Amino acid sequence: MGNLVAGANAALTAENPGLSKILVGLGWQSIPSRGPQSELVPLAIMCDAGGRAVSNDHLVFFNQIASPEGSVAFAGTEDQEQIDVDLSLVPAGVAKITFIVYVDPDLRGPGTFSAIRNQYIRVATAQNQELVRFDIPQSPQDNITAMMFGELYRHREDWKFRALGQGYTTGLRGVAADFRFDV
Amino acid sequence: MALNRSSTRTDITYLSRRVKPAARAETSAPATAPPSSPVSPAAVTSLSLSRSSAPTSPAPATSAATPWAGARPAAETRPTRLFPAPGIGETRLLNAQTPMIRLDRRQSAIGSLLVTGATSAAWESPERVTGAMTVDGAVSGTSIKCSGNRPLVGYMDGTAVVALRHIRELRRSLFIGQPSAPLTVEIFDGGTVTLPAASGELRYILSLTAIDGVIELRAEPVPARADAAELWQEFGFSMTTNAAARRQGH
Repeated sequence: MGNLVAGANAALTAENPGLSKILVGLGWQSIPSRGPQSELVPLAIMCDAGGRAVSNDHLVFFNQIASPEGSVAFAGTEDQEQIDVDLSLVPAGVAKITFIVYVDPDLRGPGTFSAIRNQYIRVATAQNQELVRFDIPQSPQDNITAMMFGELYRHREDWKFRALGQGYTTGLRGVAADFRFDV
Repeated sequence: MALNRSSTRTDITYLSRRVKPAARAETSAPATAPPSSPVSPAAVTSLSLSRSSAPTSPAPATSAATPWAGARPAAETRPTRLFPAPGIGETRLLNAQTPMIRLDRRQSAIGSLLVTGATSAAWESPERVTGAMTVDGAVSGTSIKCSGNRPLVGYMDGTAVVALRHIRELRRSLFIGQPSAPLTVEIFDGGTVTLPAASGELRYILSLTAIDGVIELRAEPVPARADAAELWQEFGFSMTTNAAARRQGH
């Protein structure tokens, strides 16, 4: 399936029969700085058909590293983050899983994506064989404080992946407002 | 009996990331697995914290080359042993009637936790690296700097700040204010709670404890005249020297 462009999608389970457990890797590079640096935090949001977070417990990030039923779990850091998804365990009420990276809103100079380069999201098999990858195009990011990298979504009986690469200027609060969860 | 704090507890399996293949290979090497280890791998896998009603997952792959080899159902990854406690929205005041609140996992991990009115802040990492800072910027013990080039606990414009992105690098913290002034805590979602000023011979200081990434805030009654150094000692904060911190890998 190879590399995607923003907005493109790829069939995962339809083209890989029997695919159940996948690994989603997120990565980027930060330009080093001596002062306070942006600290990027990956977040997986399990959404209902209306695009809203199913519940606050269905937000998976470094301090809540698994969803209640265990279908989405943070794994390792070979990429900046690796997230295990067991598609067979995803509750029927979850229509999509969106992968977001936000700048931690530390009051001491939280920063933006301006010093971030080479962001990507990739989907691989459980054996880490890459199925699809999206290298987010470089563009001015001086006012970007959160970004949707991509999403897994149901399509009839199958799962697909969509490349997004859409930035927020309103940070985690904007993300929370769109996906209707509490922060 | 003295506690052995130097070795990793292998019998506690909840809320940890799966062991990746490379790390698994390293930890299973004979050189790093002493035969006298009190907990054998078999004992670890036989310990189950899951409930009978918990959802079950297909049996994980057994190959060590499979990243999923260490995956566990969420029922095993969620601690359920914390006693019930009110949240930050359920009380405005921490005092003798409501001495303690607990933040949730999001509140404990997003942005900054601010303590207004604190004239000193002390911290201790899970590795027991300990330090303190006064509102004037004087530092005792060892500072802990996070990957974003910010102190784990520090001051900004006279307000004590805890970097919650790195809450797992903090074990506990102690915030002390002037006896005549209250302490106020604020978190990212706007939730606040206040510790009242001294009343007579007693006043409250704020104790923050991070338990597996969840923050508990407690109002601790102390003598109104006790100074910060006495209180650090009373609460077991022994300032580490930089040399000691280096030995502990900081």
